[in-house]
Amino acid sequence: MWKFVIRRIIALIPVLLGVILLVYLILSAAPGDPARTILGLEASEESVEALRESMGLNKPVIVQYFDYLRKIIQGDFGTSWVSRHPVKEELAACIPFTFVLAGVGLLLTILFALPLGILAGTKQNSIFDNISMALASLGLSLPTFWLGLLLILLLSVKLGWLPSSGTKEGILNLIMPASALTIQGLAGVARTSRSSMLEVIRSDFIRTAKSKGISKTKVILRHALRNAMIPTLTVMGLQLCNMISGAVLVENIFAWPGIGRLLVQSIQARDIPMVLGCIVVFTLSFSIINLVVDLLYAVFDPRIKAQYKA
Amino acid sequence: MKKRTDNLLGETQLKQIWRRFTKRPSAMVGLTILIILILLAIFADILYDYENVALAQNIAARFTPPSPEHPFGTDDYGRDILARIVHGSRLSLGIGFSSTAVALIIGTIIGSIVGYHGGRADNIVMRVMDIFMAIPNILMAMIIVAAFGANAVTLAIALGVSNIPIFTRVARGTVLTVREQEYIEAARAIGHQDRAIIVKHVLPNCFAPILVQMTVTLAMCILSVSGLSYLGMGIQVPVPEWGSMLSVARAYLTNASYMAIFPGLAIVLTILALNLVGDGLRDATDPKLR
Amino acid sequence: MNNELNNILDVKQKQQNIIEVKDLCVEYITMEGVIKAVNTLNIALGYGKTLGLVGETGAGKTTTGLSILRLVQDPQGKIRSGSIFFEGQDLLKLSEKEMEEYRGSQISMIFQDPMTSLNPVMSVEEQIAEVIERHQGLNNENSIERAKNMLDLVGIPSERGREYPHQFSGGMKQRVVIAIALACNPQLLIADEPTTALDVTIQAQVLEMIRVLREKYGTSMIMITHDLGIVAEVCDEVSVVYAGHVIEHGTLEDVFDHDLHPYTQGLFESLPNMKDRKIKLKPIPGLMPDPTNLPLGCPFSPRCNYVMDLCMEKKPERVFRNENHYVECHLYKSDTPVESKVRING
Repeated sequence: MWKFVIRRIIALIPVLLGVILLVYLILSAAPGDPARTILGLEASEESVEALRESMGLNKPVIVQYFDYLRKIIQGDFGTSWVSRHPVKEELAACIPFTFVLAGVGLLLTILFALPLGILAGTKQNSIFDNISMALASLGLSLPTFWLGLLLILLLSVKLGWLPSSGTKEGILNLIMPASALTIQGLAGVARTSRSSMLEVIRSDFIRTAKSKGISKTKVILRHALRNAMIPTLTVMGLQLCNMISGAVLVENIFAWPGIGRLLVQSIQARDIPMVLGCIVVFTLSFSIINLVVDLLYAVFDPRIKAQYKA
Repeated sequence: MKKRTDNLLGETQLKQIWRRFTKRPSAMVGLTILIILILLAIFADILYDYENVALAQNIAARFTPPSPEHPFGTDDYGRDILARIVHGSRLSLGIGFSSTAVALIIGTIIGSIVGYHGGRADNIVMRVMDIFMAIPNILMAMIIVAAFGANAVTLAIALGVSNIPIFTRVARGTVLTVREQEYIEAARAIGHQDRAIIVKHVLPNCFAPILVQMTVTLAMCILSVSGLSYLGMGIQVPVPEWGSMLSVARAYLTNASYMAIFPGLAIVLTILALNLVGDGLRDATDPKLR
Repeated sequence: MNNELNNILDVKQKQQNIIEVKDLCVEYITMEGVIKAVNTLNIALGYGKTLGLVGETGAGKTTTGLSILRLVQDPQGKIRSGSIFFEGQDLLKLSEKEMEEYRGSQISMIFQDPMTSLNPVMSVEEQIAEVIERHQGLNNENSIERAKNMLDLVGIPSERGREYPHQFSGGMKQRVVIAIALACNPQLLIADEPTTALDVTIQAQVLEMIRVLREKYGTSMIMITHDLGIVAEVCDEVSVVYAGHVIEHGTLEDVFDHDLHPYTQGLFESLPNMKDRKIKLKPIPGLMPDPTNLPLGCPFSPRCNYVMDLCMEKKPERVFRNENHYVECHLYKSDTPVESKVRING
């Protein structure tokens, strides 16, 4: 089993390298001179050139890329072109905020969407099913940034219950961004857990279970649920990844100081080291989430566990 | 001559999908809304003159709440919001469709060829796709747009490129299943060329899942266009676009809250319609319900 | 009936029917229309006996078996009318909870495809223990013990009990299914094409195992199959099903040696001749009727070699050749002695 985990972690590396290369290439292809942008239009040609030299911008892109890689291995993510602070510090400061947001979102999803979807799946075409799926369809269609706006409009502007930005009021600040972020994920997981439940219920082995005289509830809990979890796990992992990338929008709307907001600001400021740092964080998060999902498969499905051990 | 995949009622695949699709009221509602939106986009110029209504400033009429003259009110420059929403649909739908089309065509071709032949090319291509997929679409689009400027063309290319991997995967997945079927072996045994086999046998089987994925991707692209424009990384003001209109509305939530509602409703309606159509297609092409 | 069975059944049981299905009608509601799967079907089975339910794919045999256990998939499938008397009790009048008491303990079913009949994420001994725990009130530990005994009984080493279905071959999986079905000594076993998905050699093993277990417990059986060879091996009585309706019924001898219905004749004639390989195959031309659009009159009329005008218009009545053997066909009238009109040798 551990061999499998290690193999996956090793497989991560080329992907990470590839991602960094890709982003590096795209950003380097951008027109404009970062050194000039930092120093401003009035700065002299010599100072700009000196800065370019010190930033290593005169070397070929591939060399810059390998320099960067070497530094990352040593734990040095470079210095932000904007704030002149180490990228690592700013990343470390912002990561917890994003994780809190996504974590709350995941919790809400597990608590609400999962039971909802499973219940809807067992009562196909009932009123409960139709209403919850209609709501889910609606939820999927709400853009997170609009939902955020509406929440601010209602709860902040009109009713004054919640603060619309920042983090000063702690939990109160968290409620709206977390809700905005979670709605789409909730809807997605509710729908998928319902459809995988529907599929599993039609399986032959469910029929065998029923033919044993076991009550419907027990059949669902003991037989259907475990089998329905596997595709549901995939979606939950996917939605978690979506939430993390959705944080980019939500954090901006609510001025929540997480990686998403940092990324947008860095892109706008052409702060390449910071952009790269954020991308690395994002990519690592997704890969880890995917790995965890794959491992959870093994918990639920002995066939997959056997595959991993092989 | 019998067409491929005839079923009990002697229908072709397309007809069968259509028939099952039309039986679902929610799917038909979605399709109707979609068609109306497309028509609005096509005839936007006729309904509202671009220069005079959507773009021209009319300071005197600033911040008029919804009224018979301006059903959705006017914005911070006195422009009619309904007119801007109608024109905005051109961008949302246009960029959405073109990026999806790019992703679909390129992705399906790559996916089916690579899935069919397998081997080293398959490995390399899928690793590259994994790299692309490790970056979420929005971020990828953001980066490309940041590098090459924010306008409709770069947005379409950025979103198109970032969605190629998903179509590659879907196409490849179907091809892998179909490839193992015996009728492919039979075709090869008769001496059919690989290219002919791919076109005649493999691609028609991809049709259904690709169709479903298309609606999903389309919805995602439209959301991304609005999202990026909201952040200022997409369509720039003053060009009317639903997302950028919402970002402007953010500042005026206290005194002109209606500005935040209508462009958002337009987005919701579009996405909802696409989701309903997507669901209908998913059910209509589900082999287990046949 | 052999001696063991004789001893198990009491005098009364030997004369009665353990199950009687009367005028059963079952439909499936689909997007393409209403499928009339079972149409006024009647079968009866005596204690300790085996009834073969024979017919082509789609004749409604599986649906009949499922209906007895009331396992017809509810959203689409509905039992429209009829009664199913099991030991005198109409099963269709029971509540779901009452029905659950019968399933697995009084009536069991073996399904067609062993590959998909077992829960992939539960060990085989757990799946057998489940039915024991449910009906025999044993705790978990004891049920697993009993489950292991069942495994031994069906020829699977009990040490393998903790393994999962995917680790077993098709034949072994089917034996696990049999173990589950017989774990609580049901009175009636419904076997739905239990060997169709298996190799011929395994087929023989599985059939033999079913025979041995049945004799041990005195279980009556309904064997659903399209394979006449299996019918000849295993069954005491035969009901021939066409388009959801029994068109001929009798003892094994009656139906095999004195087949009356043109369809039954067709079934026998479509068997390849092992002795003379040069004789051309004689399939029954045409297909079974569209279940959403059944013909008026006799359902077999479109394909029948002996068809008359009357056949297309009116459904034939039941005509008896002897106490057990009846047929529903216009070729035969109840007032004249019934001799096979389709058999060349009478």
